[in-house]
This record gives sequence, structure tokens and C-alpha cells, in this order.
Amino acid sequence: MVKKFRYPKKIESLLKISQQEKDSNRKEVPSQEKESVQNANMIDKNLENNISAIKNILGLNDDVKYREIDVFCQRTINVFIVFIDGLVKEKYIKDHIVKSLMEPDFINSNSIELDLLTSIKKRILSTATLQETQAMDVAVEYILAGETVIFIDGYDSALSVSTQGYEARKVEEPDTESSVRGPREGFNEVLKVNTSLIRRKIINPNLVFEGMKLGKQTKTNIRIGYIKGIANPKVIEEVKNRLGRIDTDVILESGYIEQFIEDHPYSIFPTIANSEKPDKIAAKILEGRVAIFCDGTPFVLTVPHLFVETLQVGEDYYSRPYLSSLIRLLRLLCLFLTIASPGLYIALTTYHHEMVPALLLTSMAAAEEKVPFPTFIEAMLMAVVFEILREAGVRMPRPVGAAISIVGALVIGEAAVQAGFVSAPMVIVIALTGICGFVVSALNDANILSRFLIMLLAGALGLYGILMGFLMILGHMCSLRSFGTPYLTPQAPIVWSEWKDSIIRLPLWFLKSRPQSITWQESKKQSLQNRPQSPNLMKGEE
Amino acid sequence: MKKIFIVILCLFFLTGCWDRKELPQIGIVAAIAVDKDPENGEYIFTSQILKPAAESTQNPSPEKPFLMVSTTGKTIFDAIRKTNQIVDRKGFYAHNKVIILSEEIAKDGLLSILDSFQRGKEIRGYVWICIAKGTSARDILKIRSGGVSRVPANFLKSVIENTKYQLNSTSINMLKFYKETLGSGIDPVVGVLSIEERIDNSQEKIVKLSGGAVFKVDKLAGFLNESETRGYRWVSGDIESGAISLPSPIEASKFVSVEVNKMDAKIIPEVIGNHIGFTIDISEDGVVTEQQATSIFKDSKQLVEFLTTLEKENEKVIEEEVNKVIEKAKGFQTDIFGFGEALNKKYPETWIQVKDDWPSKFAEVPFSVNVKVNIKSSGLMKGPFKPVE
Repeated sequence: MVKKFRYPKKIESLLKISQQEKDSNRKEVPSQEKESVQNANMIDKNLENNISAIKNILGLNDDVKYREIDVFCQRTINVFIVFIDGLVKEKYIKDHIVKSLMEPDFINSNSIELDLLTSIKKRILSTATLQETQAMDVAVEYILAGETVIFIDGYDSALSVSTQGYEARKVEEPDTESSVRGPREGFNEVLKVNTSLIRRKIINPNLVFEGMKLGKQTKTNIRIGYIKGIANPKVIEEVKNRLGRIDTDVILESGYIEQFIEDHPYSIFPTIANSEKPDKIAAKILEGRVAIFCDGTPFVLTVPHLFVETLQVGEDYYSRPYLSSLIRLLRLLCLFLTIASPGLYIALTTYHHEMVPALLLTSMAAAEEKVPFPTFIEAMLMAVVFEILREAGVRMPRPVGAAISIVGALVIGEAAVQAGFVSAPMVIVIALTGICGFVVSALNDANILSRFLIMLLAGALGLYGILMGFLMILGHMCSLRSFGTPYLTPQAPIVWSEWKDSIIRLPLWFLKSRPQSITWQESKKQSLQNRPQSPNLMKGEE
Repeated sequence: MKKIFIVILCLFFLTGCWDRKELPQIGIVAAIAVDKDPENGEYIFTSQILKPAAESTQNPSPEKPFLMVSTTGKTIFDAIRKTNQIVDRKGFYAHNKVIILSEEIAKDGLLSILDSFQRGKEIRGYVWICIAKGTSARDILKIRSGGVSRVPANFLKSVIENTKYQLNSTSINMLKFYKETLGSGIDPVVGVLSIEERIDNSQEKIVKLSGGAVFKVDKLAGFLNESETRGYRWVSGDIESGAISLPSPIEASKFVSVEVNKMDAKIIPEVIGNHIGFTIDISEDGVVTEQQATSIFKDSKQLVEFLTTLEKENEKVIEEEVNKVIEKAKGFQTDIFGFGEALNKKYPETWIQVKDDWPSKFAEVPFSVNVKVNIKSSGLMKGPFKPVE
């Protein structure tokens, strides 16, 4: 089967004909398969046949556990229980399934007139959920998902009880997004925990989590979360369409989904956001965005994703507006510095000496005096070394962490300067670049790639090159869209009403409406009289 | 699409900054001196090139942080390029701070010299210009015992910029020099550097910025001493701060210092028939900063009287200095105050008639000086102190 990636529109239209052929081919094949599968895989009335069928499918597995029970009800009826060891809570099965079925009272009860299947369903199994299926492959799927499936002799359907109870990480503070003020909890790897964290924050019947399964081999559970009536229905539709078009074997992380559904697969800028923090995702859902939860990862995706979101942090809204606004501007500055500062240093030291104040130029010249490389090569080397150190810092085993910092700080910072391989100002510039990069780490790949682009242009063309580079990057950013919303909204196109909460944040009572560029439904989000007022004034109004 | 792509490619490959030079390839020139070889009339061009390595904080070397290079040439540019024969770095002039010119050069006319600086792209317009008095220009650059800075050029630049704290000298940058030379009805006065003995008789030579050099158009006409320079600066009205010493009204042979806080000067031309006259209005705000006499003021009235007396004396001092310098300028026949410019602004028709022989007319025009001094306070202390006897 051909994996279907989402091509950019132009290429897609070029490939339209062949694509359609492939699509039509693909549709036919599974439908044929399905029929044949259905015939072979119906649950039989004979329990022995079912047991042998199950053992046929799962027999090799050591972790699949079987349990045969005799239920006395007028006559002895064989019941067969299948589950996977480790995926289930055994105590739960013992208490609510096995014990219930073996209950001696059951024999004497008044349920004799009832059909056995119905009475098991309605009276015996004291479990919270229960599903019934007649297809063997569905039953197998339930088993593999951690449910306990009950086959009853003489009935052609199986009962499935969700008994999942596997080991999972606790809800902890995420390492990637820590905050000083605000909730500390973060998502974990269990889908139902993740959605429940959102449910706890938004108690609203309109909060919808639509489910689907992706990945032919992994059958990963996906949930699309949004608020009905607030989220843009077209975006919801588009998300479902794009998810439906994914035809792949494996979905192990939400990153897989992101790469299959993003608007601009060749762009260095991400058009889908991700976060580990329930408060952030809840806020985005409340703004009218659509969230995509993926089982097995704490990273939840949200669309549409705008550029300004990379400069925003949940804490901005929890602390007072003055510092929040300043820090957002600071993040913008950091974004500029992390992209431009090595390039600017190259341009200033090799082309525009007259722009540097005389004393600074003298000390820069003093530092560069003994360096054997041209400034451009020096900057490139140092930038690469920094990326190596960063990557090593992420990958290394914890116990050797100290070694990296010693090597990084002492060898690169100290010894290299002493030996005259690199100049001290260059180390400062690269350090600044790196530190600023961590401030806006959501844009990491854009940062690194455009930094090297700017360095190349600065080395070849000076400040003019930097200007051209920034024009190119900006032009590219203007061309991006994320699920229908221009990437640079509200700056380009200008939407003045949204500037209130973009690179600055006005007080919360100023933000009367939801971002128009995300959704137009239910645009008013709070009443107009939220501004805190002096008690005297309020008395006067009374 | 293809066309746009080609246009974008052109933006990258057909233009851009071209003069790529690593920092170790350039020699930062901090100061320039131009002399004239008395034997063959060639220019002697001296540049002071910084040695960054000597200024390094990591392993500073005890050697001089600069290099003096002198070359000769028929033109300035010729001499500049000849420095490449004896120095391993290409001169970089954008951070040049001072141009020092010898008296002989100044007497021949500065425009022909400054042309090469202004026409070329490297030297900035606001570089300071100074005349070396009584010595060759390059000798001034060599002396580095005077100030704190290790580089004479930095020393000179700071001294020239500090003109705003004292009244005894003047300073001018290249743009202003051009403006006053080429403009009609005004002539420039250029700062003067000279070599002097140190006061403590240690026989070390120091460089001093003192007085002014009066130019007639672009040729040196003569020098102003410090008192005359003060007069010139009162009229030109560019004083930000400075000290004036006045004889104490209370006690003979003691002095009072007044700090000038604010001043303003206006040249008002008057034309009555064929007669042209000028009134110079000078107003000054000052504060008493020093009081040598010891005495006791009985009441505030005495203090007010004391200040009023000081104001009168201050006015007298300024008036005398201004009168002296105007007479001196008349003797040189150079209008350094911009009398002609003021006339041109107010009476353009009259100016057209007189502008051709303005220097000689200027020497004859009558003028009057009105000085208004306002001493606003006696500083943080009210009156003089006198110990109880």
C-alpha cells in the first residue's frame, strides 16, 4: 500500500490523476478483504470453536491469559474469559467478573426465566462498562486493548468489559514547560487521563472529545477535543478530513500526526502547536482552537497555530499585565537575537567597522588579533559546536551531565579563547545566541536554520545580506497558513482588535472577545463590566 | 515565477557589501597630522595607528598602544597610500578623531588639504580640526604624558570635547569649518594645540588646548589669546558651562568664582541709511561657586547687594573681553562672529550691496555690546564665613 502524504497544493494538483487512480484502487481492495474476513471471523455459537479460534490468533502469546468457568444456571454452561496479563487489573476481574459468575446465589435467584446472556449482562457483571460484539476480530481488538472478553457457550456474541489497568506515569510537572505561577500538572502518556485533565478544567457539556483510531498496526487512539459552538466547524471538519486521510502503519507520537496533517510540510516554521500543559490546552480550546490528543504521548496538538503563540506562555495570563507584556517583547527580542546575532557580528567585524564605536572596535580587534580563522568560519564553527553541546546535553545519561558542562564551559569557553582559536567576543555572541534560543524554543528548527542562513548571507553580503535574509524569512512567514488562518495574524494581515493579546497583553478585562481569526462563533467571551472598580464607585452605582 | 526567481537571484549576486576585511587586516587610525616639508614643499602625512593587541585585556603588552607612521607625498592621498609601503595594515580612517594641521599648512589655506578628506568616503564629517601652534603637527601626536588615556588621539579628542567645561579655548569640527569657510559673512576660528612645559617643572612636555586660530576664509590670519577667545565665545553664544573669576567686592585681592550655567548671544544688525551698525546682546545666568573673602552678611539684603555688585562686575568683564576681541578681529579683517550673516538674514538688500568688500567694511562698522548677567544664587551657602574673633 502506498503511504499517502499530504503534498503541497501545487504538487498535489499535478499528481491528481495518478492519485485518484491509487485512491480508487485502495478503496476496492479493503472492501473485498473485509467481506471475506467477516465470514471467517464471526463468533460461533459453539464455545470450543471460539476457543480454538482465539488460540489460533493469540495462542503464541505468553501474556494472554484464559480462564474457563462453569456457570450453574439450570444447567452447566461453559464461560470462557480472555485477557492480557499486565494490561488489566486482575483484582477487578476477580471481584467483578469471576466472582460474580461463580456466585452461588445466582443459581437460586429468580433470573431463571431470563436468557443467560441477558442476565449476565444485566444482573451479574457488576462492572461499569460493557460492550457486546459478534465479530471475532473486534473481540480480539478488545482483548489487545486491555479489556476482558467473555465468551459464553451457546451464544454467538462476546461480552467485553473494560478492565484496563496498566502502569502509567503519574501526572507530573512537565520538564519542557515549567512555570513559576500556574498549575504544575502536565499530561502523561494515557489518553483518558489527558482528556480527563481537560474535562476537569472545562465543565461544559459542549466540550467534545471525538475519538478515532489511527495507524494500521498501532491502532492508536486519537481524540479530537473542541467546544461545540465555539470552535470553527470548518476547522473541525478539516481536522477530521486530514486525520482521515492519514494512511500509515505507525502512530507512536503526536509528532507523527503533526507531520502528516500540517499545512506546509516543507516550511521550517511549525504550523501546529504542541504543549504538555493542560491549562494551556484548555485555554486554547476555549479560544476556539481544536486539540488533537494522541494516546501514548503527553504532547497534545492544537490548530490553528499562529506565530504569536510561540511568544506566549500560560504564565503571561496568570501574572499581571505589565511584566507579561514586557516579557513578550523580550521574547521577540530573543527571537531576533538568536537568529541574527552571529550574522550581525560577522557583518560588523568584516564589513562595517565604521558602525562599531571606536573603543569597542579596538577591543574587538584586540580579541580577533590572534584568531587564525576568518570571522565567518569562526562563527560557523562555534555555532556548530554549540549545537553539538546542546544535543549532547539532551542525549547524555544524567550521571555524566557534569562532564558536559565542564567540557562545554571550560574547554570551549576558557581554553579555546586562551589558546587563541576563537575570540572572546565570539564566545559571548554564541552564548547569547544559544541562551536566547532557549527562550523561544518552540521555533527551534526555524531558529537554527535561519541563523545559519543569516550567517551565510552576512559573511557574503554584509548587513545587506542580513536584510535580504530577513526579508526572505518574513516573506515566507507571510505566505504560511495554519488551517485557514494566516500564520502572522494579527500582524499580517493586521487585525487591530487582536493586538490586545499578541506581542503585548492588555489586562484581562480588556480582552472582551475571542480571537476573530480563530473563530467567529460566540465571539464575546466576557461582559464589559469586568474592570475592577473602587468600592466607593460601586456603592454609588447601587 | 521564473522571472521573479531570476530577480531574487540578482538581488543576491549582483550587489551586496564588497569591502570585506577582517579586523586583523585593518589598522585603525585614531589621529592624523599634516605638515609641510620646508625643503621640497611636499606634505608630510602622519597617522597614529592603534595597536589593538597592546590594549588586550587578556595579555596586555607594555609596549605603546599605537604606531606613528609618517610619509611624504605631493598630495594627501598619495601620502596615505604610501603608508602601505611601511605598515602591514590597511589604514581605516572612519574612527579618526582629530586632524592636526601645522601653521604653515594653515597659512597656505586648508580647503585644499581638507578636500581629500571630505571627498574620499572614509573620514567622517565631525572629525575635530586643530592647528598646531609653534610646533610641527606630528610632534603633538607623539606626546602622551599629559592625560590618562594611553593613546594620544583619545586624549586629544577628550580634551577638545571638554571645551564645553571651560572658556579659554575653542573647537571646531570639519563640517562646521566647511560651513563657516564657504558661507558668506562668517569666518572660522579653529582650536589651537601647543606644547608646553608641565607646571611642576618635571621637564615633561604636555599638549595644551588654548586660544583660537582666526581664519580669513580658509587661511590662517592670526591667533587669539585666552582672554580674546573667551570674548569670541561670548559672542558666538556656544558656552554651556565655564568659570569666570571676578575680584571680590568685599575684600581686595580676593576673588569670587562664577559658574556660567546658561548663556545666550544675539547679533542684531541695524541699518540707517548707508550706515550699518551692530548691537550684541549677551545674557548670562550664573551661580557663585567660590568665595574667597571672609566676612559676615547681617541680613539677606546685603547678600542681594553683593550679588548685584557681582553681576555688574561680571558684565563689565564680559564687555571688555568682547570689545577687545572684536577690535582684534577688525584688525585681521575677518568676520569670525558672523556679523555679515546676521546682516544678510535681516537686511538682504543691504548685504548684497556690501558683501563684495565686506572684510574691509567689517573693520569699520560701529558696534555696541549689551551684557545682562543674572547671578541666580550664592550656591549652597548663603554668605561668606568669618570666624568669631
